[in-house]
Amino acid sequence: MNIDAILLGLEIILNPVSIMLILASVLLGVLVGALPGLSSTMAVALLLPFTIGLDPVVAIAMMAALYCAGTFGGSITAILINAPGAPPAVATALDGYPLAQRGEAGRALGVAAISSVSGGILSLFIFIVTAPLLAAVALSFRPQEYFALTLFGLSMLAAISGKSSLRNLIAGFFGVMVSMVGIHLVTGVERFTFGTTVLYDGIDFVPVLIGIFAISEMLKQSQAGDAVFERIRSVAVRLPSRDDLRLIWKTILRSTGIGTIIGILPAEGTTVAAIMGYNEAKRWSKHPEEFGKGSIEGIAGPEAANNAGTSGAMVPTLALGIPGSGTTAVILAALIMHGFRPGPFLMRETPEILYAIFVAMLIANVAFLVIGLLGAKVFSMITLIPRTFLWPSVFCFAVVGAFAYQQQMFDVWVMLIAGLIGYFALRHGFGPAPFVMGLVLGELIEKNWSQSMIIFNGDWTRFFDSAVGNLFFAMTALSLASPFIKPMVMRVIRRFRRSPTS
Amino acid sequence: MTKKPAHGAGDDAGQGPASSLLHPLDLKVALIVLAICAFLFWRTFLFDNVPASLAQNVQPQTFPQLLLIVIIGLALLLPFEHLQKREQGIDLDSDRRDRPLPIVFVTGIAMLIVVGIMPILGTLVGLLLAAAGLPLLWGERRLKLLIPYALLFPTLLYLLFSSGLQVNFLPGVVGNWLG
Repeated sequence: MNIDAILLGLEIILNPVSIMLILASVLLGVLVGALPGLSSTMAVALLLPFTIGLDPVVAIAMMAALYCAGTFGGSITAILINAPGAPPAVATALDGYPLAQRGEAGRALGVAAISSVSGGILSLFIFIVTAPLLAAVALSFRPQEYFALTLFGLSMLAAISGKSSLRNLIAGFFGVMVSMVGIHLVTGVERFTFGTTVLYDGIDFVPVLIGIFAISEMLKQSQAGDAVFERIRSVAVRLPSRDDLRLIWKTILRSTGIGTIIGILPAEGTTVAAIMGYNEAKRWSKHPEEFGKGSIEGIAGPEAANNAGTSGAMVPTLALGIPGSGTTAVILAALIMHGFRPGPFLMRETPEILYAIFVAMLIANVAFLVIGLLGAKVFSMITLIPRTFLWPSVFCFAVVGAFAYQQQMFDVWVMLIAGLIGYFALRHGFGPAPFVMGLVLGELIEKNWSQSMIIFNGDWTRFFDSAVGNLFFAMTALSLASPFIKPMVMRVIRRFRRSPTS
Repeated sequence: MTKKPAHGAGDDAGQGPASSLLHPLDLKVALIVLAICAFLFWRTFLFDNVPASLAQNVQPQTFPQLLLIVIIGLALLLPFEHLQKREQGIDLDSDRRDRPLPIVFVTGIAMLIVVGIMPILGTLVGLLLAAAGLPLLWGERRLKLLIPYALLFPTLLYLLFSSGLQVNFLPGVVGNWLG
């Protein structure tokens, strides 16, 4: 354990300015999480330009805190108005809202908050142990093995939430294509610059991220009417009783494990973790019949899992440079923007960042427990903000943020065009998260491929010389084939069940 | 989220019968993807040639070409994907069955205009116009709310970035005129 790095990490975070900034991020995260339509991914993307002048470690810590708080924020509106502010909170609404309707909104919020905090903090300890270990293993990887690992990360796009694995992959590979615009690293040749000098340095991902997450969503929201929600008004928040805790502690532990593992898997997100946490809570419950009618286990399961997923998703992001979710893809972009080298070298060159993020996420978890519980009623009321003011504000933020990054109008155009294309792509099922992951991973994957080809003297068959590389290639093949294999397996199981002789 | 489709893929959107092998709308999407790939593939042939000794077995066009071939392969599967999804009860058309409302295009054009005029009128004026115009376009008529919002929000945001983060925004003719 690197004591100097721990002390430095603590020194950076544990000062009044940093703590204030982290608390502000938590507040912003809970607000954004509570507002249906606004996602923590979008908020992190919009926050990026604000952090230009800040200490890079504090900037990343702020984003990590926002990510944590945003995941929790969604549960407030899910419980109080049956409108999950964020996709991971969808499963929470299934039991949270019925419990609130029975007059137990405070109990539901208390269970959600305690489960979120427990899941978040427990998985943070797993994060602090596993991330350096994973990075140490990855440090021994040669370029061909790292290429295979990155390819595996990309192939996991097939499994990212959405209706179509095929479209996720196409979007992800287009992201990689966009990352190739500019000067080729090995030869110095211009690629896809169309003779313009503005594309010489490539397309920066900050304006693309802002456009694809904020502007696309704004266009989508432009045709949505103002939703009217039935609001639970009597909210006297109370922490879970001893009986409640006795009932949910096993669920919390199980969901924390599920959430952390799902989070660590590249490209899997907190939404998947929450749904799996809910399903497993129901499967293991002594009262599965109460699920959907206001079961507190049905709240604890997804809440512990989705918050555990946030810490889990930070593991591959920091240790391998491969994002564990859409939001961590943006955080990865922020790391690059602030001059860090994500991946195993990050731990060696700037180990303090790991501990700074750990402390920031710890503060965030405690802070959203307090902020979330005390301000639940207020946060549920922010859905009253008319969308006619909310989304134009997002547009102003997007324009200013895209411009501020490099102080050039070209980035604003990139942001706008990315948003317009993103809207139409989204309509046809090409999600923004896979595209962004491809964009962020693009340079890494090509760099490792190029280095390997140079080492192998152009003999591509030598990619299969390494056992570790082969393992990743096999996992890639399995991951790519999973959308086709899964229905076949399901069909066989169904046929097997139907057969009377079996 | 998986839902049992009320109709098969392609139905209701006027894209042909669900039973057809090819999904008509996805066929168009695939053709667009293929056209983009073909264009980019052609562009790779225009990259400067690098002598083999300098390229070290890594010509600048090799990786993009490999990637484009993969995308082309995947795009060719797109029109048939609905067959598999229908079996799984997934409706690929649920988000695109209804055409985008005119407000989507109006909003898009308004955003393009705002960004287009920023170099001429300045960033602040562009933001003020966006904060006033977009709510009006979206049907906001409460002037008592709209006017203070349209004046205060962009101005505060502008000041935060220009004074707080030292960002030099475009002054435009209005900025130059104000000095």
